[in-house]
Amino acid sequence: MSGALHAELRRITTTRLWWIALICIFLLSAGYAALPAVVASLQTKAGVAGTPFADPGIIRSIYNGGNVLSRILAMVVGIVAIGSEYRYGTLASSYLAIPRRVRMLLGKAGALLIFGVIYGITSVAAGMLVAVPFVVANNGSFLLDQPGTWRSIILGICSIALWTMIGMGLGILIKNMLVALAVGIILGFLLEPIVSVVFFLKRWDQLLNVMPSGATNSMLEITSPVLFAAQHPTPWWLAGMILAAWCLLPALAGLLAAARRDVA
Amino acid sequence: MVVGPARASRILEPTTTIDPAPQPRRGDDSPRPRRALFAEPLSLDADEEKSTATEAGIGRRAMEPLPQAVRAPLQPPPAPLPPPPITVPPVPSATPIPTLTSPARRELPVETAYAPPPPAPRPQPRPAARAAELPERPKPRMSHQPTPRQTAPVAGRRAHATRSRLRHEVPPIIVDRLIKSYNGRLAVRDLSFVVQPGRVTGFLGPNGAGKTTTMRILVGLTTPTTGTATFGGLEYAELPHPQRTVGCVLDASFHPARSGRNHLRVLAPTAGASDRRVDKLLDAVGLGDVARQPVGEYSTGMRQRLALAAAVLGNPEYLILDEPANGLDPEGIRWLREFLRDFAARGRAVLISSHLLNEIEATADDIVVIDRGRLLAAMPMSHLNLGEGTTLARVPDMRAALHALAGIGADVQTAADERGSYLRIPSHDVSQVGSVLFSSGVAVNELITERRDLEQEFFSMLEESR
Repeated sequence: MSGALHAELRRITTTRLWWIALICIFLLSAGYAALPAVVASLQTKAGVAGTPFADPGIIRSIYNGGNVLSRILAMVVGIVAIGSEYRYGTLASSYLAIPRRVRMLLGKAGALLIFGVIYGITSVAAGMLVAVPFVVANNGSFLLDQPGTWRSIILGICSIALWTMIGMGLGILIKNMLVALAVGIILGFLLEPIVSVVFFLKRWDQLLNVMPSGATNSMLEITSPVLFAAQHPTPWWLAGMILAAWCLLPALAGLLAAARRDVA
Repeated sequence: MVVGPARASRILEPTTTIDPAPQPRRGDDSPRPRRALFAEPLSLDADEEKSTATEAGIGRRAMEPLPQAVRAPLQPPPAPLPPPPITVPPVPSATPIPTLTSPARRELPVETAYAPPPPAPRPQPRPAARAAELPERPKPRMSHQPTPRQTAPVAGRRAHATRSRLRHEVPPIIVDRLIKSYNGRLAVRDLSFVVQPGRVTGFLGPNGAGKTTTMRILVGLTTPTTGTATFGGLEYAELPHPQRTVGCVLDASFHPARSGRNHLRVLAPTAGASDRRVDKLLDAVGLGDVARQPVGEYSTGMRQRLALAAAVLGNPEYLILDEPANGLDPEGIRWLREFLRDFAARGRAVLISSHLLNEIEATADDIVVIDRGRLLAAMPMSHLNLGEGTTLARVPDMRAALHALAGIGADVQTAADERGSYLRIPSHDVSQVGSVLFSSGVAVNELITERRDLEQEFFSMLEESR
């Protein structure tokens, strides 16, 4: 199993996508983390009651500000990791190296999970770096002494890793990489947000909570109406399980299909 | 396939030719510079990783000699095989290559190569597959004679004992009643054959005959409808270390952005190969200079060499090569031929398909011919008597010529074409025929020989089957 994991890690690191995604995630996360930071900063200057940079909700939303975009990029990496194998016909050589297909795909999942965690850490690190000047300038607090902050950071990392798995599941299920990418991006950027907004406006919190982005928001304990988050989120652990189900659903369906399918 | 009496008797006639391995080929006698293009020999020696693995007692199950039943395929089929022991014999590959077959092999009873295993209860094919089976089935040409190597004269026992230690034979590859049906269309129909260790087996057939499907079934990429294909009793997916057991060139597909070196490095962890071995192999196949370039910039021949390097990365015991010479230049083809002979001479098994029939003729010890998914022939190349031929003589006086040629002991026949009558002498020794006619005072207008080659045999097999 370690051989399979080692091979799959090498497979990812020997093409450019992983570091291009890493740089994009860092830059986009920094940009997206700056948004709530700037809003909070303006509120401070306007003399709104309290200090936003000591408010756990605000601080967490800065730290996890890049989550919305990072998870989509992480999903893209997941889709391409498996989709390029179909696209370039290299799946046969992967199966020749590890003919037990479930084991091969588990190795791939393990490697992608590791990269998902790296992307998650990058995203949160970018958010924390952005928070530094704002917190210092406004005499706020990083709240690193609060367990709730750390839970939010760790869950933010986990949620991005899980979105990488959703991408892998999609990649296995839809053999054409470009179609899988289109489906993933349309679902992640368009369809899912629109449906979420509808649920949000209709106040259907229970439905909103089972959507992938709703589950992610619940997991991160984001309740901001700006992000169309449910007012009554599920507990973070339940939200994590819902998100895990979202990544396991396509992965299991794809696995069942791939286990017996002849390799072209 | 209808086999004429003359052909049948020729094929089934026991031969006493000594055919030591590796056997020099006809027209191939002169010493040749080896590996002119490829910078250094492609070492198959177990590298340090593999030695460690074997010393630890892992990953060598398929190397274990199997019971007699598996070695002689006419015996009951290998299943159920006793689980091969995990203990490991000394790694043989680092030893010099012997030129004769090991006595262990010679001590076997008459080894019935290429006979498919006898029927045994098997899962029935799906109705669709069954319906598509043709009622009239030509009988494949089989050789039930011992292969020439087993008839080599016995030398001293001590010498044999030494050689048996040097040469380690792997169990054969057994393809047993394979059927592959695609939506009712049969790509492979009840195909059985054996790939013997220590020999290169050429796998021939026209396009769409089912060669690639059979090879893909062998390595588990395609699931057969029924039947099995095993390496020493184990299917590919059951092998504890597939890359260290079977090397495979099927299609040279690579990620275009990955470098050749990185392609091998991706396969290295599961093959138990180090980066040093990767670099060594890249040099050996002549890709050392372009190893760090993306494969997208490689030519077809370079991709093929990379695929070959990937196949031998794990120092395997079996090679399954589908058109490995595709795109290779003449030097590359010659290198491949030498490499495969060396590989087989160490007691390992090679199954190679190619459309270059003269290349198969120069490389293969045995051939398996299929057409439309069916076995047409499976026999040692020596049984084809290639290179022998017929001498055609046009003489004004047929009667005198027939009388003169009666002395050479050949069955001379008269034949005719649009240019008139001629004599067909079943001998390729044109000088003998010429001198007999000359000494008898028979005038000769034309004297030519027709040599048989694999291409002619191949086409005659196809014609007979259709």
